[in-house]
Amino acid sequence: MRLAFFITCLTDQFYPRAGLACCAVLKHLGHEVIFPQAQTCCGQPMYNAGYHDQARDLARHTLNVFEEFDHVVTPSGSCCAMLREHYAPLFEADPAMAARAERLAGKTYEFVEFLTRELGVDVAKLGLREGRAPQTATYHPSCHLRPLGLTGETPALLTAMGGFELKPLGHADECCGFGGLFAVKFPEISGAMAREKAREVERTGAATLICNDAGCAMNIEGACRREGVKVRVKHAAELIAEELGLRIEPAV
Amino acid sequence: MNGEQLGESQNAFMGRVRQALAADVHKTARPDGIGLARLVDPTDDLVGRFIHTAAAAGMLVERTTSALANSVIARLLKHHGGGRVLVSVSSRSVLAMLVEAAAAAGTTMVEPGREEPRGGLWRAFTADIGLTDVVFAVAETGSIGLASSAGRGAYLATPVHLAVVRASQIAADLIDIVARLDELARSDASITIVSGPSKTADIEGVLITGVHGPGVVQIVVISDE
Amino acid sequence: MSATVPGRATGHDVLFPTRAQDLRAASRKALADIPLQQLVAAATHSKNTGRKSLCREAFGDRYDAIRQLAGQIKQHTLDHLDRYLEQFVAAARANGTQIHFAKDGAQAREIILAIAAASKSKVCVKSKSMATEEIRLLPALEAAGVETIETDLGEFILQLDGDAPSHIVAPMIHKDRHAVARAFVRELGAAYTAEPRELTMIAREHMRAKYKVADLGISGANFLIAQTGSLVLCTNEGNADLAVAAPRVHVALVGIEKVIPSMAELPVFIKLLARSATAQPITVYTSLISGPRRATETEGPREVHIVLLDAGRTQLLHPSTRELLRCIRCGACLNACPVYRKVGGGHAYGSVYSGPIGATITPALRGLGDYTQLPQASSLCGACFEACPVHIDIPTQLVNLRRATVERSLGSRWERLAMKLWAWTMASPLRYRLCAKVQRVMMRAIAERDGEGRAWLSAAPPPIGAWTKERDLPAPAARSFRHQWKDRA
Repeated sequence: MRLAFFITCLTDQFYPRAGLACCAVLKHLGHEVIFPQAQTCCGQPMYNAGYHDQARDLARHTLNVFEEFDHVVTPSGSCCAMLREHYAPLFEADPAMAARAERLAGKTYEFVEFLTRELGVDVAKLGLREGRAPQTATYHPSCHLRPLGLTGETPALLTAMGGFELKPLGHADECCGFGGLFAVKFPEISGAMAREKAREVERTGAATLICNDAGCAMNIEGACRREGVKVRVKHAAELIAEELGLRIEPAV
Repeated sequence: MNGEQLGESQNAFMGRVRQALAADVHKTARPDGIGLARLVDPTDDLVGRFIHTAAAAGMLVERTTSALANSVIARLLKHHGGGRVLVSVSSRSVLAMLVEAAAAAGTTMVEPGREEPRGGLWRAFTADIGLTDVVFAVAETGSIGLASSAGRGAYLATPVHLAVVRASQIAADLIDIVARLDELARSDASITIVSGPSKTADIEGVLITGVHGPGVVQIVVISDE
Repeated sequence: MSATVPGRATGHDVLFPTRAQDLRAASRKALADIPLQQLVAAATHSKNTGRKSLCREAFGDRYDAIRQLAGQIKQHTLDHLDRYLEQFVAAARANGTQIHFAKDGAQAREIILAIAAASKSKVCVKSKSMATEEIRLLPALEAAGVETIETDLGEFILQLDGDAPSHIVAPMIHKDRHAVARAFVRELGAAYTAEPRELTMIAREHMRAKYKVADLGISGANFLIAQTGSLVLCTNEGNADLAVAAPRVHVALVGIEKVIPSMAELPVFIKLLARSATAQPITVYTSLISGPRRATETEGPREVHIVLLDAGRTQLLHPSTRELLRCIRCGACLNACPVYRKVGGGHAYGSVYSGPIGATITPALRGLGDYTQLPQASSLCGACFEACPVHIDIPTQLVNLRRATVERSLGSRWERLAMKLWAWTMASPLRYRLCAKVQRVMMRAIAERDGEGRAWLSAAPPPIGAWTKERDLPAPAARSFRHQWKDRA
């Protein structure tokens, strides 16, 4: 298939490795991955903050960039939710735009969702590395996955892959406290939530935290680092790429 | 005061309501799928289910037959301390049996039928046990239904409430008592669905029973099956 | 902005601030109060977890569908509220209930005081009602010479202690047993005990004495049944039932949004309410009151009055906010909300209605200008939406309030400029790349490298300093995804 990749601004700048891993895995599965260079930001921060005119500007731009493609894949659940749930309502007053937004919503997927539901990939048959020592890992499901109905996909995928001792994260569905601008508008509350999440990660004793959303990852990784919790934070795509033996440049 | 209007006129008040609804393009239809919320099927063992849920809700339940009901009630009255018993019924057919049981237990009956200018719960405040029948029961929640035609104090104000339930009165699910509630809302000023002893957990989440209402609810189920 | 109510100042003043509510400042205090954090966390976690397990056990995978059903029943009723309210009024009058209409809190107080005066009431027993808190009824009654006692244990204790409720359902989750003990010694002359059962029995005896002499009973209502003109009261203690049965006169103050069409719909709400509020299948007492005592009855009030309250609800009834009126005041959203937990409960919101529902209805009922922070203090995690038994989309309502804040220029001028600039930058790939480069260079310049060569900021100037005060911030990667993708091409 011909897939358009929506990197999302945070992943592009802060976790490029996650994006490269997604593309490498998709290519490995035989698909053509296009990266439309003109893409920028889905507009979620503006939308959440109530700046809907500005959000519409960015939504128009994103529509222009992506609507020609048949499938749009993104590594971030929150940006996926923005396109799927909020673009069409933003154009309530403009039925033509709303229709375009609906069409794009119908073909936008979160990476793990695309792998497991659209491609129906049987991870066990992927030809993963044999004989490696099991890693301890734990998983933080980002909040936006819940309304998309996608909280079980990554744990199921990791379990199917094998080679991971998946430790359940305590109070996993509690928000990590990122919330975009919330983190800087109410930093004390946000910080307290992030520290709680870091403590839960520490309690699992896992070496790796799997987190598929760059916003959550920045927040939790930053809190872990400040609290002295030693853990590697990775996108599920990075794990799959590693298991497949695909080379991803370290992005330091 | 009855002739004088307090507050705003109904017209002015409703005018604001109508104004807020005026521009509606779409109205939500009245859902009819109430059955989706059904938790207990009428074909279940309703007596068994009722006994189980009532006990889980913190009530004491004993099962007996019509022949033995009298002596069981008398024994339980004694067990719960006897003393002054307030008998209140909705169905007169049960009254004789309850009065007999109260007498057999050696308890003192609180005078029935005396009017009280304030609100009439004074009798209950002086009683130790309220002895009542019920107007319905619900297996889903282990609930018993009481209605004000039987008075209110016997199930709201006494420290112990002993309620007699006939197996045929046990409905499966809350959905199944709707018609009965409609009927009772016409005939009685107040219906109370009781599902346990009075309780609170306001102080640090510690559960305490017998706060205002009865601290002990004893149910006797009469079943001849 | 403050409610001008006669009578002594009470602890409730914290819920009626006289200037714009600074939730952020209140949260800083609450976060430093470790005992408060523990009390509130314990109370909310257990109820939230209990709700989930009870609903899963009872409804299985029908839980969401049943929440949506309850939401639709409420939405339908609200869409036809004129019809259902009029049906309720007619049916209630037919069963002997007197109906009064209060356009706002002041008028509601007037009506209730007039009823108290006309019935020569000297002592009033009151059950817990958010609406009565909202209109500050208690001080008005006391100023009018009516001795008024709260009979819900938590509210009774708060009344004694001159304190305000901090949760819609469990009003004193912020108070521990020792505070209660001290209040009882001070106000009731009781011997000191901090044992919950003993404290409860002291309260019970005190309140029983009042039931016996009370002239007036005041309650709220959980539901109003349009078809039969009945009001429904759901409690665990039995205090509401005694408070409305013992006195001669019963007055219920009820928001117009409490109406449901008929008895047929009631079971759906009963099955959801207690599971959502207190993690139990049903409240101990579910009472349906259809007027004063019947001719053949010897107990119960001789007069029943229902005061229907608007006080901003007809404003909320407009289409964009109408779903907020579905609320059945279960408190599930409070118990699910990580922000509510962290700010130590309701006092921080400066409103009778706190938590997620409070953040959405308070600005409408009391003015967005004084409460701009409330809709902002959320990460939009959606836990409230998932907990709500009537399926209110609180996150969308919060975003709508944020949009209103922007449109009415109520927020910070600097933020408006910054957001417009940011959006303008993001709208063009060239500006995006330039901005990204500047950001990368600047942040990596002040960052420290860790053992693996990754760059981190542990301190930064505002506005990023707000982040780094609480946790580290990764600097942008040396080479972004775009760069690396281009190089591969």
